[in-house]
Amino acid sequence: MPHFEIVIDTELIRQTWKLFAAGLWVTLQVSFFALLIAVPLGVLLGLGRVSRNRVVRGVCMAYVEFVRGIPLIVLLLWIYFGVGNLLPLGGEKPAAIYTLGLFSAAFVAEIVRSGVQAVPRGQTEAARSSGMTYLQAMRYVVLPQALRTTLPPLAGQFIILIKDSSLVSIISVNDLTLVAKNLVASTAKSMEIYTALAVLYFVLTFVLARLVRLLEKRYAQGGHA
Amino acid sequence: MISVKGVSKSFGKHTVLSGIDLTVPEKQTYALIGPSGAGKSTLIRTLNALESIDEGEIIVDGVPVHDKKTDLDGLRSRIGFVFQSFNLYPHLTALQNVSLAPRKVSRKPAAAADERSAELLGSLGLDDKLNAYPGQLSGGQQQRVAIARSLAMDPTVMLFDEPTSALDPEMIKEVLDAIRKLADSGMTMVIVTHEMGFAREVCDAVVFMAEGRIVEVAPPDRFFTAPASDRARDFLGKVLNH
Amino acid sequence: MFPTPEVLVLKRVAAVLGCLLAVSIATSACSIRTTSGSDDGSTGGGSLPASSIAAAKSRGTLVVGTSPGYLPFDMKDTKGDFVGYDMDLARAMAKSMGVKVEFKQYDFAALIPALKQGSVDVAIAGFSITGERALEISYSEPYYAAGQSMLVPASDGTTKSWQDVDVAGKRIGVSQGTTGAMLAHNLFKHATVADYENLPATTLALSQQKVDAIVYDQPGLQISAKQNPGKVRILPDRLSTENLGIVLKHNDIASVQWVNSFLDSYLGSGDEKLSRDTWFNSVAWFDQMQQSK
Repeated sequence: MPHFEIVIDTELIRQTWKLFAAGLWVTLQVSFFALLIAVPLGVLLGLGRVSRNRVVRGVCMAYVEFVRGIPLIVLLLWIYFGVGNLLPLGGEKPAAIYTLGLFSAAFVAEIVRSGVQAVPRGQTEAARSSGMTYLQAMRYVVLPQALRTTLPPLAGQFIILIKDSSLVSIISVNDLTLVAKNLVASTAKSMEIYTALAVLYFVLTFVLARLVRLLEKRYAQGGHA
Repeated sequence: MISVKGVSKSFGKHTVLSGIDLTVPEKQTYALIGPSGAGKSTLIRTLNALESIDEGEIIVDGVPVHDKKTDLDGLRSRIGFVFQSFNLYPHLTALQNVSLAPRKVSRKPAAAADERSAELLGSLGLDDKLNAYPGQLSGGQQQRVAIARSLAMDPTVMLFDEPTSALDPEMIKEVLDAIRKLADSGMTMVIVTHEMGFAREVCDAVVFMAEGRIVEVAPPDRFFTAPASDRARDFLGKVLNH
Repeated sequence: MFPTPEVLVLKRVAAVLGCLLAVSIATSACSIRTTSGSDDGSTGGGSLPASSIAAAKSRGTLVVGTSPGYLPFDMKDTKGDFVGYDMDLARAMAKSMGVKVEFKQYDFAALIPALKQGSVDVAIAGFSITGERALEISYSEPYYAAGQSMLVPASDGTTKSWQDVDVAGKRIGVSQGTTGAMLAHNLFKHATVADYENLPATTLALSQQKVDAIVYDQPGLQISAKQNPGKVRILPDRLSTENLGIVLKHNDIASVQWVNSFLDSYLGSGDEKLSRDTWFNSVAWFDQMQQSK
């Protein structure tokens, strides 16, 4: 009867934890800055999708449909090796951030659009009836309400972004996944390294999900109906 | 004050308003009554361009409402509109609801706006609800906040689209009282309502509509006791017998 | 003063996070070892794995794991056939066993895991023999002597050795997971090492000036140089010497011995000389190859 013992290789921990930490930091950086691009851009695109101006509506719709129709890996290669060959992008990390940001913005746009469309029409009518302009009604009445419904899916988008960021290893960004791949290459301890990689991503997204739930509760506590 | 001439409107093949002519003089309160589908709500919503018109002309406070060159936002700031479903902003307190337009549209400083809002809410019996959110208020309280919100912009005309139709019976009186006070103060008002008793008591004239047309316009006493048209007679017969 | 509800929740989240982080770090260093009773081969007793070669023989097929993309050892032509020096070697091996050959394609980094799992009998993909890897798998004796070289753009006329580019701000392109990548990561102290998917991606990066030099196995670089005449230049000195070996399951002594004796007869034979001429001394085959993995 075989019996198993679990052996903890402290040497491996000692060698690898710094590398994992460095990779984690890069993953967080890339995801965070991509989000900084994705949210404002996505909000603009989402609002543009419901604009009364046909041209604006068309342009925003085209962008969203196009980006959502291309796999992220293709977009990364296209921007880094394609566009990046014509325009200076400033290196692989900026390229990764721009790509992830532009990609995510399309999904944020859809979230914002449905959030805005979910606000009852009566709200806009009441606001406009008191003399507010379209922009004022948006800013003070519609968007604050839309925000409440969009906050959970938006946070979900950040978590998706973190998972998507694992692809930037393709363009030589030294993120968590690339660090793991290199460790496996040099130590051949594929099971241990890849398990740790999966667990690390899970921990990251799990913690973020909890923080988001906290945010949601806080927001709801404000007494808004 | 309000002048409607030759107005008609259709949604596709369905004609909602046809050949509407109406004049509401200053300081008077007119009631719009009639069966469902008569076009009452549609008509009142055309007065501040919440609905468009296909033909005709509407002038409110000297300004043509549906003219492309009109400063519609400016005009709307002088027209108060109270909705059947209140449409209060759920993310703002009662006070903030009332102060929002004065602050952003009229550019009033916050302190002055809030003071006036508190005053208005107080006069409607809502002193203790200034910091409550709409979700914490009853229907009657919400509608009174809505009235205060419309009054905050110092309108020259007040429009009410079935203000009590969404309320529980016990709360109807408090809202009607508020509207009565307004009428007594000399505000020009148009009210779409099913409250016949109220219409009779408070209004200067009753406008009876059916099937998209104005059938009869008459002072309430005459209308309710001796309506001129068969349609009105028919309607009153059905309605006044609960 | 009692902590507010938010603080309590945050503390709990932090505790959970701390535990999970510890678990993940511990997991990375855990291995589960069986201490007795594992499968053994045809002879009773001992704890050596069953011979993959014997298994292949009785099955009638030799399953070879490989990773196309390492020129001219492991490639796929436009018809989808596996070709190259390693493929010739694999076919010769199967012939010598009297069985058919079946190629299975993997990402380079996934080959050893596949071998460990038993999805393939052997892995032939231009593997360099390294000590670290030898702790996880077993190598045959060397079948080719290669080494890492460096490639620079032809416009760079001044670089003479790898030390010349070990300067802060310079980028060295490598193919992720290869021994060239590992060498570069260890060697360069000032320049940045950039890992790309494979050699084609790395050479693309060089041509777009995204890296200043490439470190890769010499045979592969020689092909690159022949494909881009006048655009690139191989540095005369090799950075390292490496021997290539066939990869087998760890401690599968019987198979290792079989493969070694096969190599003794194959290397230097007429077939092997023909294979070497075809793949290393000309690039006539190049146009028929699929251009990337």
